[in-house]
Amino acid sequence: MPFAFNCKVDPKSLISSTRLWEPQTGAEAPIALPNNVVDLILCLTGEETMTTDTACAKPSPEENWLPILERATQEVFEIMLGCQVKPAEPSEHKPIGGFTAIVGLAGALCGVVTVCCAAKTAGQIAKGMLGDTGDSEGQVVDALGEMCNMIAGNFKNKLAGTDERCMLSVPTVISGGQYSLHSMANGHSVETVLLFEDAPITVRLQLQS
Amino acid sequence: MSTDTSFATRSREENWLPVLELAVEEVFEIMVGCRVKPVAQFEHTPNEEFTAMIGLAGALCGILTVSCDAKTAHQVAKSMLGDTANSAEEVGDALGEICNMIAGNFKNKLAGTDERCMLSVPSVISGGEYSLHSLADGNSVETVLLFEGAPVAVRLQLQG
Repeated sequence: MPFAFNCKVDPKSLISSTRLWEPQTGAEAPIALPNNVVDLILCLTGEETMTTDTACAKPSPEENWLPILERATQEVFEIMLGCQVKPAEPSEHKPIGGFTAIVGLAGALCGVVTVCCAAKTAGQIAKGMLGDTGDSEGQVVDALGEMCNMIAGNFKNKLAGTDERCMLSVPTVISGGQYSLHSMANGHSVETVLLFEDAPITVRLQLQS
Repeated sequence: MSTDTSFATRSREENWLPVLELAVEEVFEIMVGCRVKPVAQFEHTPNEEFTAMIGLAGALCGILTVSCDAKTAHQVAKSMLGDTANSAEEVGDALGEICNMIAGNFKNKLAGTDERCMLSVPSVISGGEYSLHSLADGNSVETVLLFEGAPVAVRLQLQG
């Protein structure tokens, strides 16, 4: 493919904007860009790396964030729904993805937190939060998105030093009968399945390395 | 979530559509090697079989999405990665990377935003039957551009 660089764009702005070279998100490209593109941009900018805080970007090998994620989830369910959820064996409870709420983390911790459950379970969560009137799809979406937002916020608050240097984006909720969600986060991943009224809810943290 | 009120106000008072369109055009020109132009949205609505999304956090809080049909997503991937780019994962990665670069390019064009707005990691949704609902309750900017005759929708939804 011929590559013409006859644009008015500031290539440095693209460099700093792209995940390919952002040190907070790793130095390795998730996809192989044509070499001429990479070489040209690096040549034009004269820089290949930038410095940033990566202290919280991934847990050290001895750290286990699974209990923290589980605790963060349990607390949110307890506060928002007044019920206790307990971790279950993931292999025994395959997630059914009718609804998936997703919230992005940016800064010292970069990645996504997702909460996935069946449509019926999402409806029960909405009713638990909003009462019996919480049965429209809009209310179900709002309830699940808010749960995801609170779990992500609670989780990052539990990591020492992360809170102020990690920010959340706005929750988004996917619903439907046939879809797949693929995160480009290529680093550490933590997943837990909890039972809410005997139905599995999968909470997943996927981080950029 | 805390949002810098000055940017929330700016998003309402300034017209960010041309900025978004320029950011999209530049990324397609550099990454895909082609020029795309905005078209009337009501005439061109993409079948959103692929949607790449990325979160913005900090002074500017929201999400940016790029949606198109499966055929167009495959064409974008082939233009970026060559004819061998056929797998769903490669197609998703290519569209996610385009989304990431558009978001980064857009925020870099807004004075004072770059350092105080950060991006999360792109995610890509694919399938024949899904709906995407953002809880962002603020300003929304959307453009549709034609890539090889097929519409590609780019949406920025901000927290108020």
